[in-house]
Amino acid sequence: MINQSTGRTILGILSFLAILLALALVFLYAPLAADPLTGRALPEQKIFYFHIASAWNGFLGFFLVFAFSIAYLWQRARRWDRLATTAMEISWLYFTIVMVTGPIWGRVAWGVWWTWDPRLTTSLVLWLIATAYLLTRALVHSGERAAIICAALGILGFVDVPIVFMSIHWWRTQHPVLITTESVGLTSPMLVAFIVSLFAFTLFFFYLLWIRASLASAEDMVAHLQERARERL
Amino acid sequence: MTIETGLLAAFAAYALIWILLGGYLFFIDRRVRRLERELGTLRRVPGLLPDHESGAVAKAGPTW
Amino acid sequence: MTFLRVTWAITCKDLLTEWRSRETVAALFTFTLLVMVIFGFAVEAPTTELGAVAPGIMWASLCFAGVLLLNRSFQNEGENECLAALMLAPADWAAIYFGKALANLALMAVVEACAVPAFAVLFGRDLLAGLPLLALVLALGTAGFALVGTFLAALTANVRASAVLLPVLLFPLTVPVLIAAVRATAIALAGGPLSDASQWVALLLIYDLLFATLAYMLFDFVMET
Repeated sequence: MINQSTGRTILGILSFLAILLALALVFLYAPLAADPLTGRALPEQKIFYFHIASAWNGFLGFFLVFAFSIAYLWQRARRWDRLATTAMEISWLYFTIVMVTGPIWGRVAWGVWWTWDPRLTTSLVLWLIATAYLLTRALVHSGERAAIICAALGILGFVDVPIVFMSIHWWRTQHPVLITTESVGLTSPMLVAFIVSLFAFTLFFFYLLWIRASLASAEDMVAHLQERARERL
Repeated sequence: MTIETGLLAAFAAYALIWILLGGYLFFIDRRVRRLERELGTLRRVPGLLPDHESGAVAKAGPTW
Repeated sequence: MTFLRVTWAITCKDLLTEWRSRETVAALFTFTLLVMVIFGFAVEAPTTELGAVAPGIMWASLCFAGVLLLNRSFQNEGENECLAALMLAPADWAAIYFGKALANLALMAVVEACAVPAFAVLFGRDLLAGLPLLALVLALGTAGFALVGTFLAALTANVRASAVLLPVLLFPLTVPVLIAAVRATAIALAGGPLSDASQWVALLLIYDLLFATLAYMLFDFVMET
């Protein structure tokens, strides 16, 4: 039987290798994009692969927070609360990547730092929800209270996602966005690179989830032990 | 925008991704070390950590 | 039926408390007016161009005032263990939630009754053009804020820095309401028919129902804390 620690290390190595593979595919295998009008090479398009991969994983994180929050409210086991916070932390991390890489790409590709593109804007709103969630977690000291509050937030946040996206999408349809982070004409080598990038980042997400959750669990145990020590002294 | 700007942008973006992800790993690592220190202090409390319990903490502990 | 009675009783209690002092509504209206004026100065545009941003300014001002109102929702229950007493009422705890949400909605309606005409004057909009649609949008939009806002107020009551935490939580979650309300208001002020705004109204309706249901299901958990 594989002990937990070994499994974790294996996942870590696998995700690291997957990321290396993705990088290789992105830079060596996928063709250099070119502007359809001028034929000029567009190296900044390479940002696209990990940018979108991060966004999808951010969304995945929100779903996980939703699932863990429900599990917590149902079973009241501390481990669901730990998993929910961890998932939200990593989701926040990935959305930060989206917020950082998006404007860089936009500035170079289209001359503006921010386009109110539906996907990017939705990611921003989700990033804000994630930030608010983590702030709440930091501000509420009582563990159980924080757990319940954040569980409610996790559920509200996830349910809101489709509505937020729809509203922003309709909003932008009225003022059509000429610039979009949608992939433009993905040829099949690009598609391969993208899928591998997505897969690699997802693996890495679960690896981060695992180690961060283990850390949280260990911290809980140590805190518990510290309290026992205080009682004895 | 020239090709050089494009390359610079791609490079900057990837660098920032690794900084962010690496930063998170670093943050976790720092917390692990702090935990190990606290555990070390706790081990000195007589009778607090019977053998089977310290094993449990170690197994849940975030070894890489 | 008891549920509705208790809900109504709580609404009346909150409104009565408000009526006795009457300060809050006046202050809220003044605040809303102030924010609109600030926007008027901040948005450097001749009066004709202001028309495009006017609906947004109206809703932004209402949002900020709304947050101030919501902050107080559960504050006055802090003394004399009022909240614990309320929880002993013979109905689902969710009655407390709906009662307060309804009270907040009513108070916001009073503020809007004063603020929206003021807005029309400041920004030269014709309210009568699409009045039914405007009223509908105001009702559904404010309801959305009140429903989610009251729930979050309960969630963050007695948390440190809750006055800041509430808007930080509220605004991202209510983005759909803001977008839909502003778009629909723009259509209403331009005198457009209801059918033009139907998707936004539908969105508001779905949002309100969805979050009312969610809040109802989750409120019991919140009250345990």
